[in-house]
Amino acid sequence: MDQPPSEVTRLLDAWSEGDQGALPKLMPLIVEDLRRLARKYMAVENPGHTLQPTALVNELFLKLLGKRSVSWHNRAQFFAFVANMMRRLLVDHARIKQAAKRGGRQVVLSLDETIRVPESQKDPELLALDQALHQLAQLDSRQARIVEMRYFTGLSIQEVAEVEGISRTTVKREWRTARMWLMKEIESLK
Amino acid sequence: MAVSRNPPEPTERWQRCKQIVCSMLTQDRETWPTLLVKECGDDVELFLDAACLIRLSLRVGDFIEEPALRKVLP
Repeated sequence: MDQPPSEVTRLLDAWSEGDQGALPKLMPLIVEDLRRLARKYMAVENPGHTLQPTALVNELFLKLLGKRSVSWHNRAQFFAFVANMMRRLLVDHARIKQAAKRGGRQVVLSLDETIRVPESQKDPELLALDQALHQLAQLDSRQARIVEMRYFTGLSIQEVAEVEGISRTTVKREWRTARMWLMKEIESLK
Repeated sequence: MAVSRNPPEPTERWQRCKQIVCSMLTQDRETWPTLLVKECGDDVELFLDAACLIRLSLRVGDFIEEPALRKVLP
């Protein structure tokens, strides 16, 4: 007998069918599941593995949805959603680390058990990028989505072009100008 | 009688700025100042925005080119 759909699945289905009110309810549930699944997946990976970010994200969401394949009506919507989730996950992580540094004491972070953040990654830059990306979304939502898909989930130019239904040339142009604009904004925040 | 025009919305201004910068990027750098003046006309704000962006094109390098996840994966 089929089990009733989980709250997450129900909300995902509702949202994919156009119920915008489902999204705010879905966000906290998804982020928590992503954290848990990220820990689990990273923990079983061997050191030096070559797991690709896109594969990781796809895998996480397939597990999350409890489905063998994604049956969303709109593929672009799915990838945009995944990209946004990964952005939230990484930005949350950066925020926690920054708070820990400000507190002047070492805080045990659950994500750090499995995701090792190298010293070269400057977390305040990630937070500034997030802030600048919010501004860009006000000006050009498609461009902001392209940045999310490229930077936060590692989709290739070709993949983004397919998801957005635009040419590779357009993606390259939008990606390049978005990077310049974000750099300008981040520098102005300093 | 002159027709008064409202200033463009920020979204429109950004689209125009992108268009100018992308067009300039396909041309030799020596021609950029002339193109900038020609394309922006008397719109000082657009001129400054486009000039700032085109300057950044010279040093944007690999800024955020490496996906964030690749940095945090073990």
